[in-house]
This record gives sequence, structure tokens and C-alpha cells, in this order.
Amino acid sequence: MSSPPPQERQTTEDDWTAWACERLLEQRIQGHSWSYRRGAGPAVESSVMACLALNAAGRDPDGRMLREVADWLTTFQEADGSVAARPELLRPAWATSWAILAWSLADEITEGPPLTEPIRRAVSWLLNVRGTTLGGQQDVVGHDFNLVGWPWIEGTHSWVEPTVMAVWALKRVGMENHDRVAEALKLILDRALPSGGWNYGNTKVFGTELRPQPGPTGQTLVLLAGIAPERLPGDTSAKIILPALTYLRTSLPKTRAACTLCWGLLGLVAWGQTDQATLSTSWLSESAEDLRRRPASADPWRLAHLIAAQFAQTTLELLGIVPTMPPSPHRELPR
Amino acid sequence: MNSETSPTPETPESCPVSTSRRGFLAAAGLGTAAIAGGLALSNGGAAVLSRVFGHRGLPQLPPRTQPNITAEVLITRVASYDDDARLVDTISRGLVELGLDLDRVRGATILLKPNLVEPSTAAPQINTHPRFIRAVAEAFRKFDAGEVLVAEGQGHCRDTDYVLEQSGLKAILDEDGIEFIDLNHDDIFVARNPMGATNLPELFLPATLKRADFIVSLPKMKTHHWAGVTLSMKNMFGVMPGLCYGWPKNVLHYQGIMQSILDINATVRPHLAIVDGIVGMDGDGPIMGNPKPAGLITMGFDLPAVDATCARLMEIDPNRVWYLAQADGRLGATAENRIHQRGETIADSKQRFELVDHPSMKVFRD
Repeated sequence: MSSPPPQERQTTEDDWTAWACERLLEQRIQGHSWSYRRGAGPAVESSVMACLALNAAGRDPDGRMLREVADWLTTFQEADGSVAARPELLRPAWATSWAILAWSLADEITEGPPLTEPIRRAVSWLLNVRGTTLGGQQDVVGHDFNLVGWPWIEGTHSWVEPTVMAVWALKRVGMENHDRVAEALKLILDRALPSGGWNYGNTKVFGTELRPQPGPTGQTLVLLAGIAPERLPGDTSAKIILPALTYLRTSLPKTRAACTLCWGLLGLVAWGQTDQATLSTSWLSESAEDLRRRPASADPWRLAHLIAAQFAQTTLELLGIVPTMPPSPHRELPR
Repeated sequence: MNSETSPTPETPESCPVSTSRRGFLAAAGLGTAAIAGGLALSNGGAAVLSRVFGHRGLPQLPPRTQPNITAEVLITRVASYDDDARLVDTISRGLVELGLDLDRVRGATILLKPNLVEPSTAAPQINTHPRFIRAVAEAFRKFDAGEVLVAEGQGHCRDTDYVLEQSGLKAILDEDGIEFIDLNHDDIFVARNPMGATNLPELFLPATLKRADFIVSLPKMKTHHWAGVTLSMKNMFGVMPGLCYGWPKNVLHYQGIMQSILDINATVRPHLAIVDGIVGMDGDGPIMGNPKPAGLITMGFDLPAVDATCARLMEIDPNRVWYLAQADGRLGATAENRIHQRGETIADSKQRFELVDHPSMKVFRD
């Protein structure tokens, strides 16, 4: 992957974030939300991600935009506590985890009525959602079918990304010791690929190990960095964390895809891999340059990820990862 | 999407928000026995069957209203992706030979739906080849299409940019100025499910489908470890938005892959299939299989006929692929004697695509 020729560069590494923040701000919908794509309808995940990014970048200093997103989310929370991925839908409600994150953060850093009740109802719904388990022998799929995590869609099997999102949310509201979290952590470790990293949820199918993917690997590493080491098996660092970091260190230099870069870099930063984080500023800048050349692609979803990655430490703090992570030998990793 | 193929009447305009919101609950079958039951599996074979047919057993399908339907399918040989001009010429000639209505294409919006499954530079046999997609786009541009889009809602990887980048398609789209739409995160409209092979009364579809006058399925010619083959009909799984159905379209897997294929095709009604079999995949498809350099492009307006022909080319009996057998007379023609083969013959072009080595594959081949 090569950088564009110098004469084509329109921004410096220092000022692309200002450009990205401005583009993100101008795509705000009705003063309270963001879409995935330019000109599309509002969505929960993209709105919360945009708030995270703008707060991490210091572009929402009084938390007003975060509060407005948080208030908007309450307007379509269902009576059962769930929050659909888009306001015009009732289901699917995997975005409830994102709503909890936003409410929790808004309660913490903004002025306004407490969001305790929406959080309570959303957590109650989340704890009632269980990925389906399948009994019997499984000679086809390699992972443990009997561990319960969270599915994308109610009534289906658990996958890595929604499980990570749910644990993030529960951890953000101080429920990291809940039994569901403990089982979800087992599931996440069980789904780690033997050769390092995670894909989306499977390890082997018909005996063949599947390929890792940097996005889910980064997301999962971010989560595990926030888990107290005594809650993980003693060999987690050697067997799972280190191979996953090694995978990210080899795969991230080959991509400039905004979302993948974001989660991969956050995963590295969460585990103290700051040499890669330094390198990453040019990767993020190159990714931003690509969006500048293709204005239609400079949508809230991509922009928010790039900004969040550029301010990785703050983003992690907002997610509730770094402050709750005690110093631990299992985070000391060889270069 | 033109009126002939529109999945109306339940469009966003006619579907109030509250109905839409409630509709998904029913559509997903949430809280019903469909989800709670049938999950106690006794062995791996049962696990495979439940993945293929869902947890509800086989459905009662509508009668075959077109039992004598006929179709034309063209088979051509192309050895590699290296010659762009030859690819464009082969595809253009093929479409003309099949009787493409050029007046209908002129000024129309053409939506190309490739098969993008997973990002991997090391395994280009996973995804429809970028130069194949380029050639089809160029062919439609030569026919004076108003707009050519490429759209996909890939099954596993949420980051579309990563899939495009790693597959090599991003560079092609950028060079040729072709717009790409991420169907996983598109706006949504609701369409009635006329086939009812699943118990989903409605399907949630990406709004971009309504923008298209002509939907073209561009699959890779691959074996599939659950469905036997993945061709132009299975490729339409990719229009279903992950935002609603999960990754990898979990609701549809629970409803049954085979049944979902029928429902999606009956609802969306794609117009044309052009199958990239220049290098296909056999073995543990659709992701972990081996490259299979078959050197073939197969095309036609009747998707079941194209897929049945491809299955025969792969030495798999389409009658043993449940969704193909059920599509005959309902969505198109799959019987060999009702498909007029143009170009190369099946007998001269067929080559055995190996299936994954598992007892469950006996369903598809002894």
C-alpha cells in the first residue's frame, strides 16, 4: 500500500482530523443522529460511534451532542428495554448494547436528567437475550456450541462481535462480574483461532481453520484489555493475546479500510503496542485522503472510525476500557 | 427496480412505520416455536441438515404454475481474466445472442450483484473476480446503460471497504468510476414474501434495489458446504441487509438456507445471471475451498436454468439440490430437456467439482 504522491496530498497528518470532524458534523441529522451512509436515514450504531469520535477529538466539549443522541435513543426504546438498530424498526435490537454505552457515557460526562431508567431496562433486556445453543455432537463446527453469548438477532446463535458489544455495555455499567459476562468471556476465548486472532465466530468448519479478520480481532482485544487478568485463564496471554497481536501487527499495515484500521489500532493501543500506534497516524491519514478524493464515501460511518482511531487513548477511556484496567503482568508483551 | 419485478405492495410508502416495526418481530418469528424448537441435535449430520433446511422442516410451497417453462443458457469458454477486451466482447456477444433487449437497457440503471464473501488476497477464488465485474459493467456501458452500480451486502465481514480493498475490486471501481453500494447498511423497505418457503411473511430489502431497473447476479461458480452449490440464486443472499438479518444473515440460516434462497429470488426477481467460472472453487466452498480453473462463463435470463446448467457442468445433479429442484416451474426451468443450451455443450465442458469430504454431501452426489 503506497502513499499518494506528495503533490496530490491536500492535508497534512495534523489537519485531516479537522477536515474529518467538520464533514462528520455537517452530516448530523435533525440535531441528534447520524446515518451510516451520506443522505441515508439515522441509525443507532453510527450515531453512537460519531459521538464517541467527536468526544474523543474534543469536538463536543460540553457533551451536548452526546446528550442529544442519548435523549434521541430514549424516544424509540421499546417497553421491553430494547433499542432497534434503526428507529423505524422494532427489531433487530443488537444496537441495544450501543445505546447502553451512549447512555452510560452521557450520564457520566454530561448535564441532564439521569438516564438510569433507560439503562436499567436496556440491561434487563440484554440479560434476557441468549444466543441459542445446540446440543449433541458437533463434528462439523469447531467451537463449543453450548456456551451462551449474544447473537446478532434474537433466537439465533452467538457470534463474536455482538458478544463483545454486549460485554462492553455491561462492563460500562459496572456489571463485569455478572455470570453472563463470565460465560461470554469463555465463549470469546473459545472462539479464538488456534493460529491467532478471531474471525466472526467460527474457528473451524469441516475441520478447516478459518481465516482471522483484523476488525473483530481488534474489537475483541479492546474488550479483553479491560478485563481484570484474574478473570481470565493464566495462559490467555501466551495462547490468545500474543498471537492475536502478532496477527494484527502483520495484517494492519496492508489495509487502509477505515473501520478495520480503527478497531485493529484500538486493539493494539489497548495492549500497549504504541510503536504501531505511532506508525498508524500515516495509515489513518492515507485512509482520510482516500475519502477526500471520493467525497461520496466520506460518510459518518467511515469518518467516525478514523477519528476514533486517531484519538485512540481517549476513545478507549470513553469506552470504559483503560481506567478500569489494573496494571498486570499479563499485559507485558514482548515486542 | 421496475414495476414488473417490484416486490410491492408493501413499500415504505404503503407501510406505516409502526407496521414496519411490528412487522419485523413477526417476520423474524421471534417468540415462536420456530426459534425455540428443534435445536436438540444428535450428531453432526443432523447439524448439517438443520443448517441447510432450518429448524422447521420442509415447507408447503405454492404449486408449479409454469411446469412447461423453457429457457436459454449460453456457455462460453474463457481461459483467464487477463484480456479485458476479450472479456467485454465475450459477455457483450453473449448477451446479444441471448436476446438482451437493448432498448430496455438504454438509459437504465443496472445493478451488478457480485459474490463478495470475505476479504482475502491469498484466495481470489472466493469472490467474483474484479476484472469480470469490470467487464460486465463495461458491456452494459457499451449498450448505453444510464448508470451501472455494484452492490453487495457481504455475509461475514462488516467492513465493506476491507472486502473491496483485499479483493482488488476497490481499485477497479475507482479506476472506472463505478459506484458501490453497501447493502448491509442501506435504508430499508419491506416487501411481501410471495413464495413462503420460510415463515417470514415479509422480507426487509435494501432501498437501492428500488433504484435499479435491471438486477444482474454475478456469482462465482463454487461448491457450498451447506447448499451443495452457490451460484446465481444463492448469490442473492447478499442483497439481504445484515443490519436486519445479522452476519452472516443468521435469521435466514435459521429459516433454512434452501428455503431462503427460494424466497429471496421470488421476491427480488433478478433479471440476469452471468456466472464467473473462469476460476471457480471446489471442495470446502464457499470460503475455504480450492481454486478450480474451469475456464467457463455461463449466462442467461432464467436464474434457475443458469444454475442448473452450472450444476451439470460441475457434475452435480441439480435435482439433488433442493432449492433448484423446487425452483423448476416456479421460478424458472431446471429440467435439462427444457433448457436450450447455446454455445458450448455441457458434455464437452463439464468437469467434476469436488465436494467437501463429509457424509452429508451424499445428498448431492453418491
